[in-house]
Amino acid sequence: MVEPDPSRRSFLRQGVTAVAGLTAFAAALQPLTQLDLDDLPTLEAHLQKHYKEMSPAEMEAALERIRAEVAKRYGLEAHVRDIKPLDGVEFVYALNLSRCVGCRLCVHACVAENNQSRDPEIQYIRVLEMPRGTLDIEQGNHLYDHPTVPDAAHFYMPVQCHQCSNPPCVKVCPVEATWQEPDGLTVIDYDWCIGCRYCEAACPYFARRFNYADPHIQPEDVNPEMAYLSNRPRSQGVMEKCTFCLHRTRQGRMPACLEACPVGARKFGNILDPESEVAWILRTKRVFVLKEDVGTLPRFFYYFDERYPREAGDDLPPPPVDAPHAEPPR
Amino acid sequence: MRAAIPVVLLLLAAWFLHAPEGPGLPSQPTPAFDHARLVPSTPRTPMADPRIMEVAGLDMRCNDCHDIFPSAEQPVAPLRQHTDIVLDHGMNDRCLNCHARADRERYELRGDVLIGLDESPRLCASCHGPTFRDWERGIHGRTDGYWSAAHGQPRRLTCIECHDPHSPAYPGLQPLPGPHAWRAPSEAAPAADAGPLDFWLQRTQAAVPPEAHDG
Repeated sequence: MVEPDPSRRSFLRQGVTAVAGLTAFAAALQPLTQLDLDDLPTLEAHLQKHYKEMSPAEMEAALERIRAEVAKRYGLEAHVRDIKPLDGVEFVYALNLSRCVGCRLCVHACVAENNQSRDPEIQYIRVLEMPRGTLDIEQGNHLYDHPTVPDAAHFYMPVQCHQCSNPPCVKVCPVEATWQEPDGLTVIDYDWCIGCRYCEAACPYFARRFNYADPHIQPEDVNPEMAYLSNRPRSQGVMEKCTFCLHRTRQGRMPACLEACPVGARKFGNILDPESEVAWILRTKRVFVLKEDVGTLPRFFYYFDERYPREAGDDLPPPPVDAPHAEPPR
Repeated sequence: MRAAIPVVLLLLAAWFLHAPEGPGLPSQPTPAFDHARLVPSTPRTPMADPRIMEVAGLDMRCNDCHDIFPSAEQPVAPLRQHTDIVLDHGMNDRCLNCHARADRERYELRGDVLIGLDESPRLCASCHGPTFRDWERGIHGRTDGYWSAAHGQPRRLTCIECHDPHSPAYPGLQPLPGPHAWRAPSEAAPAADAGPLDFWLQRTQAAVPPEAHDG
């Protein structure tokens, strides 16, 4: 195409095209000028090893880096630790559906404890409002807004990470950034996660959350008690999830959602201890797990008391079965 | 035809520099709510022990009055004293079913056994057997403190730390704000099939105040 003897016309034509092309290219790179070099991950963070491969000294260096990042970002001195699982402990959660009133205190106590992003909003616990007489989750509504709860025609089912014994989220992770700990908690190394969201898609309980944008928390709302595997600050583009508050529970305390529950519907403990509250619940109560048929073997159990409810409207007939859920004609 | 290439490139440059940011997230921060409610608590705080009541401007213990004035065999309805009490406990509607006749600062079990006001589970167990059985095992009611005895002691809240014994049904609670409707259709979020151009048009139209169109 290039003419052997460049004429004035072809020089101008090619020159204008080249200048326009360079202009467009430079304009396309314009967002780079808005990049703040301070926000980029440090070389240290890039070279950090996987959680399971770090030596104690390397872990201490990583914790020191996280402390410095928290101090820089939120201006506070965080107490960041790497807390190991306890021997002879397997955590189990049990939730009494006869008692839950759907007040969502657990949801917001969890957010406050675990430093979830406030904007965009990330919450680990989703409280489903279900019509009485069904366990069909498709009829559940998490956007309910009554002046007071509980509503007489509904019951409430909080859903969070079930800490499965056979976790599909762990199986699909292409980089082994999420795994199951010896005490049954499925955890994430936020520095190893590549943000592919396979685990979010694999989870049948919608328990995993993705940081689509840079998490935003007011400095006064940050909980300075942090652990590497649970509530240290996350960055944009990584997954996060409920860890049964391992920075609390691995030190004998109760999860934040349980402490907040005003009705005592939540029970937590060590299933390997036959005298624990959860062991008694599994032995004596009518217990079920959500989506048993998908074979995830959750460590989160729902149970009932003998009667429900104990107040007015006790003898209401069950709600009619919706047409799409009825038996198809044969 | 080839003269169009620089024009297209310059248009692209203009777009890169001046195009709005993409639709982004229909992000909504959590509505404000009373964070004091997150402090672990139940809807009820029982009166201190010993119970102190203000009568005619004086702080009085139960027996200060009840040692002097005899009580009626049957309760008077409506109550002329203790008018703050709402009695809604089913068929258990007699004061002296629970309160001891001889000592109003104690409860009375069957067989004339008197127990302290901090031992309410023993009293409630007289009727609520299965609930008491669950409570003893920590299955009913709230447990504060630690799940692991090696780290600290759990504390089981007693019956009257959650339930008002005079009307024990749980009061309704105001729910805290729900999640925002990220995945549900909402007015704030652009339509699912809207591209950046739709968003830009929508935004420029919204940015122009309506009166600018007049005249």
